[in-house]
Amino acid sequence: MEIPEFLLAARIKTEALDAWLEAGWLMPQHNGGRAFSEVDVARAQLIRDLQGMGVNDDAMPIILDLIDQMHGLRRTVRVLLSEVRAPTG
Amino acid sequence: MAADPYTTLGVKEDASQEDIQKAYRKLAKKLHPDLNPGNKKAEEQFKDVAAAYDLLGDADKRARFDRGEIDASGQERPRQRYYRDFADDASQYSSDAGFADFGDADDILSDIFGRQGRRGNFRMRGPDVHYQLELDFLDAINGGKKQITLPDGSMLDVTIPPGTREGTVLRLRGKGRPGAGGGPPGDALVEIAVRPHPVFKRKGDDIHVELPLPLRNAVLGGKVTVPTPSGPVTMTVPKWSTSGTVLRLKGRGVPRRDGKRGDEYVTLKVMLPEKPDPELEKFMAHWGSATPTANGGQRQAMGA
Repeated sequence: MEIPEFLLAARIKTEALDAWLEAGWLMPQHNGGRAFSEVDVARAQLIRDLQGMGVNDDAMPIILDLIDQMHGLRRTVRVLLSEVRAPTG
Repeated sequence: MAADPYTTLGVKEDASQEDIQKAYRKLAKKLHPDLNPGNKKAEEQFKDVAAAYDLLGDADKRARFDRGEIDASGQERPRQRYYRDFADDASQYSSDAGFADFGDADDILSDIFGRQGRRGNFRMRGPDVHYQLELDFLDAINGGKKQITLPDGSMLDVTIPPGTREGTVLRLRGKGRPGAGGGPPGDALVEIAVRPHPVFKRKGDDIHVELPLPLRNAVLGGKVTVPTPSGPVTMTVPKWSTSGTVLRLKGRGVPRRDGKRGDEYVTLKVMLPEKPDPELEKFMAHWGSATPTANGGQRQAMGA
């Protein structure tokens, strides 16, 4: 999606978007132009929620990174479990 | 959200904005789905808490609610999807940093990541580098650790799994060139060459060896020592074993991945004593004339 649509979906302002892109909290994929996807919307909402909880700019990247790591671990555990549960190989 | 927002947040109706914010933060930290991805119940509760805070967190909205101008229903914010809902898809945010240090298991885990197709323009995985490593026959069979000296002078440790074959490519995760934009480094790919052995030949997971057998053992049978890749073993040769007889030493071959081993096949090669033995010659002169047609049938079949 384009930037205006993204701002609306994520409920953030242009200034916030610029700052988050600058900080690397949001990393929309290049797809010809800059294209935002659903995962970017969800991540933006998470950032907004975390800010609402009082997470400051210094702590934000740490938390995001840990959440990404946790997701990686959860995904891996899920795949491993499905492999383990599969009858053979 | 039908419940009273003050009750949902657990604050009094005359609570200050600051207290409301504090109460919200406390609950949100506990209930936010992205911070509790495994807890499905938390999501429902968080929705209520977020809706209540939407209303009361804003002093103007709260005043209008208190005056009865707006009610608690209809304030629910439509939330599309939480960030955790994307956790199972590879994205530019995917991270394997939480288990990248698992060593051998990392191979499996990285495969899982790889299979699901990591994309991403910002985090670029570093390129792979290729090396070649020539191993002694027995090092390849028995496994062990080797070192490669890299062009920059640093050393790369390579673990050789037992039973490694010629042409095998060992993948060393993360030992390639560094990635870009925080992306993971590439892998080092080490192609294995195996030097031949003067005694052992490998066929699949089996080892073949030709064993010189003294004439005496060939005639009378007995125990002989046989070399195997894991050290010499004793084998019983039946009496009247002729050249070309193949004996099998079960489980003395190449180690397999499943922990079992192939077999070793021993081909006997009957040897006369190194120095001429007058006594044996005398015996043969007498014995030979007594049985002039020994093995005549086989020789005839060859046209001799």
